[in-house]
Amino acid sequence: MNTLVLICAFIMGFSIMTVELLGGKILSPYFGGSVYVWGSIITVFMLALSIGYLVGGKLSLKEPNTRKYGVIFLAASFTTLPLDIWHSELSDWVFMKIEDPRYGSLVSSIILFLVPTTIMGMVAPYSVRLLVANAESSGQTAGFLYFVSTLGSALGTIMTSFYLVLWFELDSILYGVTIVLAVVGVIAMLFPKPLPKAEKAELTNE
Amino acid sequence: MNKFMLGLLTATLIGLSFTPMDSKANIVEEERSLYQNVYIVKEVGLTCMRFRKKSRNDLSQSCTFDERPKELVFDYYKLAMGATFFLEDPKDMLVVGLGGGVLVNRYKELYPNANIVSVEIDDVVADMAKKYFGYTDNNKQYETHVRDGRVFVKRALRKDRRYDFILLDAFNSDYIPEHMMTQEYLEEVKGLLKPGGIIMANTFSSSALFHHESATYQEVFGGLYQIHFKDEKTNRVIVVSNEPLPSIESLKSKVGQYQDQLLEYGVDATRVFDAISDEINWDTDAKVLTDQYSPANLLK
Repeated sequence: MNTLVLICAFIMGFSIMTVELLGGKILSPYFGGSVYVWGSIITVFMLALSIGYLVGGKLSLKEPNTRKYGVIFLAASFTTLPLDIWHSELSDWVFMKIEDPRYGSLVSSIILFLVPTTIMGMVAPYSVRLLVANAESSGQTAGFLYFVSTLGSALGTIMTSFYLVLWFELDSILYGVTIVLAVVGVIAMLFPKPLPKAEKAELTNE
Repeated sequence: MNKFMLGLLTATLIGLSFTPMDSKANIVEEERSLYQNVYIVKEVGLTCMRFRKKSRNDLSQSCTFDERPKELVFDYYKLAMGATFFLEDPKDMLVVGLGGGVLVNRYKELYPNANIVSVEIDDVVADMAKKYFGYTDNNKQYETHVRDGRVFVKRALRKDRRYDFILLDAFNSDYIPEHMMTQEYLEEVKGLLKPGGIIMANTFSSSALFHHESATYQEVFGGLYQIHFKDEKTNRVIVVSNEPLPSIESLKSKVGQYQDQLLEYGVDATRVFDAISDEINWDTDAKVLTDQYSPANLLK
């Protein structure tokens, strides 16, 4: 199960950065390609992830299991749908309401990205909870989880900016993320039940 | 005739002065802006604005001759003077991408009654235009907006602004704003034209982007002219309109109209006229660039 959790965390890391990078392409027709547009996007992503970490950690206190883990992915997938479907309309609506492209891009980012990214952020602490076998190795486990998910983010960043935008249309990539997260969610729900504590400890020390 | 010979002679001399001598580049001012380092460089009788330190000519964004400030340095400046063949006493002009303001300064002289709105994303560039290239906007005929071009265009549409002539000149050789190459953007710009208005775009004539870009203009406007000197590879300007363009033959009568003034700018009107082409020389199957698909910097 550990490997499966790590793969899930990797895919989530990848997806987060794919959506973040596409954010620039989504907003530039309305607010330009300036540094403050990126400032807005990154601010919202950081804010959302921080909330997600907090909530995800809280969630992991109550009978953590892989079914709930899968539900987080499904929720993330589901909340990217409005982004996929209405990003132009929503950006346009904000463009009409707010003249200043700094606040326009900030408000648009909040509307488009805050909710899905918050849910995406919940995966990291929840993954740690599923992986941790005992207090002693918890730091190492968390460290390895961050290693894997951040590696996913790095790969997501370079793949999206170098290749995906060249191979696919913007919406195809966005829907791709939604579908991948949904599939991962379903698979995670079918995971084998968590192993008993003792056996799990052995696995982690491999 | 004599004047023309004199022009040729000057052109030759300029050509000679470009051959690599002791190219002593002297950085007069540099300032970091939100987007780039902006350098003002003086060398071989030229004042240039550059966004990089390396003194390769194609990286200069704007240049003027110190001795003859009205004379145009770059080929694409000269090509852009082809606008005079298409325009009939324009009242309202829009320039997206002010840069050093070299072209705006000439358009001001050619059309002293026109209102000219210039958009520039980089306030440092706009300041340098005023300081080193003689650009002014004190007169209320002229406006300068420090803003992303696409954002300006969208707002202008909402405010029902319309123009007789729009120059799209927002690209530099280092980076292309991808959101300003798309079908949707061109539709917006087209919406800003008065009936029969003209859009002129300074764009690329090499690399894969050439085909995609041409296909995009074709898609939006249904037809386009290109102006490019046969012996020059890198520059072309595109001319399009929201109504069918006049036949190239019918433009011939306009060549004489500004001939003398253009000569003052170092531009041979006949040569520019001969450079107008309606030939479809791009891959018509190339994918149209859209807000969905515009990896312009990866295609260049």
